[in-house]
Amino acid sequence: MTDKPEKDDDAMKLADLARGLPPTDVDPAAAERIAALTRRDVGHGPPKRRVVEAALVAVLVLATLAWVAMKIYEMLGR
Amino acid sequence: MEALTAETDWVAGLRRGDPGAFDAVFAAYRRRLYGYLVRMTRRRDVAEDLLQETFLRLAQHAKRLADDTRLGAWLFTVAHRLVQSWGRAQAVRAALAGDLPAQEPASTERSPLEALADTQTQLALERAFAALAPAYREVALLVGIEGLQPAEVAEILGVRPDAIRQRLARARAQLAEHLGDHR
Repeated sequence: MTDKPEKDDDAMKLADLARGLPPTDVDPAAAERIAALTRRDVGHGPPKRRVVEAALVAVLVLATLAWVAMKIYEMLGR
Repeated sequence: MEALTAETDWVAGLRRGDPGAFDAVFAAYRRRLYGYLVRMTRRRDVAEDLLQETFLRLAQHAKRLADDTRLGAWLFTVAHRLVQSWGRAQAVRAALAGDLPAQEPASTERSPLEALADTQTQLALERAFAALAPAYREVALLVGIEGLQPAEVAEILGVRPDAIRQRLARARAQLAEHLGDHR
């Protein structure tokens, strides 16, 4: 019956401990660079290069599978 | 309630492709995400790279966000997955390199993260958190520092809430053990 309060107590004790940790933040220059780099992609979806890469990989895999299937068919046909 | 309204506005702005909304989200979450990433990876350069990737994914998914998206949970889920991928890559690299230890060897010098500590207590705390197993450290950071609810953390990590409560208890016990006199 006391299980849940004990577990909530864990969260509270951890929060107490964590308050003593030194604050961390990304270097302002790095933050500015990251913001500038990522902001320009807002609403643009994944870059075209990534889509083209995925399409090329799919074509390559399908071609390989087709070639393997053809070879198996040839072997069975003999 | 105000925070909720801001969040709803940000999501609406992101869905419209508004860079202003993105900047607001970046300002609100950058420090929190970086704190989580740097304490999980223990490397500032990696944390910066993963922070960039997290926000890049937000930017690229902006138009596909649901109206009721909770941005904090969404961003921490992405960050968690990136940390996992990075950890796996590190493990593979270590395996390929032979029997080198997966983690940094113990050193008496302060790490860049530890250098932020102003007092012995802060240093002891930083080291105690760093000594936790990643799965416990992650839960301790998300619940202890970020103030997320265990159910929300369970959703982010993709595990059952019971497992989170168990990890919380173990994290607390291990921290107490590590801290000893510094508590």
